[in-house]
Amino acid sequence: MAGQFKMLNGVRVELTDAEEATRTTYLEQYAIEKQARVDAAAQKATNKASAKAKLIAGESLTEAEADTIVL
Amino acid sequence: MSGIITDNLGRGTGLVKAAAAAGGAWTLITTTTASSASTVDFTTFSSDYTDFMVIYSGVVSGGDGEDPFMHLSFGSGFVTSGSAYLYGNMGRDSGNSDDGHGSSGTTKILFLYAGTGNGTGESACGQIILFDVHSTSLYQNVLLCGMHSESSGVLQPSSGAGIHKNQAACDGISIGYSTNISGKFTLYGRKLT
Repeated sequence: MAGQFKMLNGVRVELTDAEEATRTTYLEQYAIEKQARVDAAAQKATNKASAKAKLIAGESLTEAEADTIVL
Repeated sequence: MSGIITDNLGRGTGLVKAAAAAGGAWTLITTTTASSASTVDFTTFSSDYTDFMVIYSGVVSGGDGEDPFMHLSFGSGFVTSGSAYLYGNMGRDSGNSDDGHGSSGTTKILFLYAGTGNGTGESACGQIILFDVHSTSLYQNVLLCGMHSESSGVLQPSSGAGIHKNQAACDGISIGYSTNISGKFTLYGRKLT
């Protein structure tokens, strides 16, 4: 990814090859962590919706579903 | 009042000079405007100041729905790996739902709750405060407060905090997105005496 630059103390500075490699490595890990966070949020939303439906229907909840509504 | 004395009251040197700033006040250090930069870095944490603050405004990411992140430096470059960062943010997302997220061991600090974008009228603004940066006994504590305005008109407020579990003096902050970052960034320092 040639041509990347940073603003360092107000001055535009081109990234070195080492800095670009470090950034690439970080962003790969960042993508993994972000996906895990997105998946967890989606699961929480699913559990919350399921918990609400079961409460209305008078059905028992799983522990994960109860966790979404119990403090 | 007018004349030579009046003209020199605000100057730092000369026969008549301004009084030294009182402790406790934030002092402007530098301002920078970024346009599609990989990161915005400040590495001028002078020992003249105890705490530092970054005010950011008009910040947009290169892509939509990106999380703004920050890294800290402790004398040998910015730490972008490992699990020494912890953070937590509470806020409102683009669906007007209030919630929070965080991590107890990760590679960065996310400094807004919701992802930000670059649509019409969208931008993020806020402040990042770093306390006791020169301490070699305390973890580096960071206070986060900001917001993002969505093109749909949804307001996404956010507040949070983060730390880096390193008992070393912090000498820099790096701010960015996974694509690139644009906006205005101002660094302030605060001395206690």
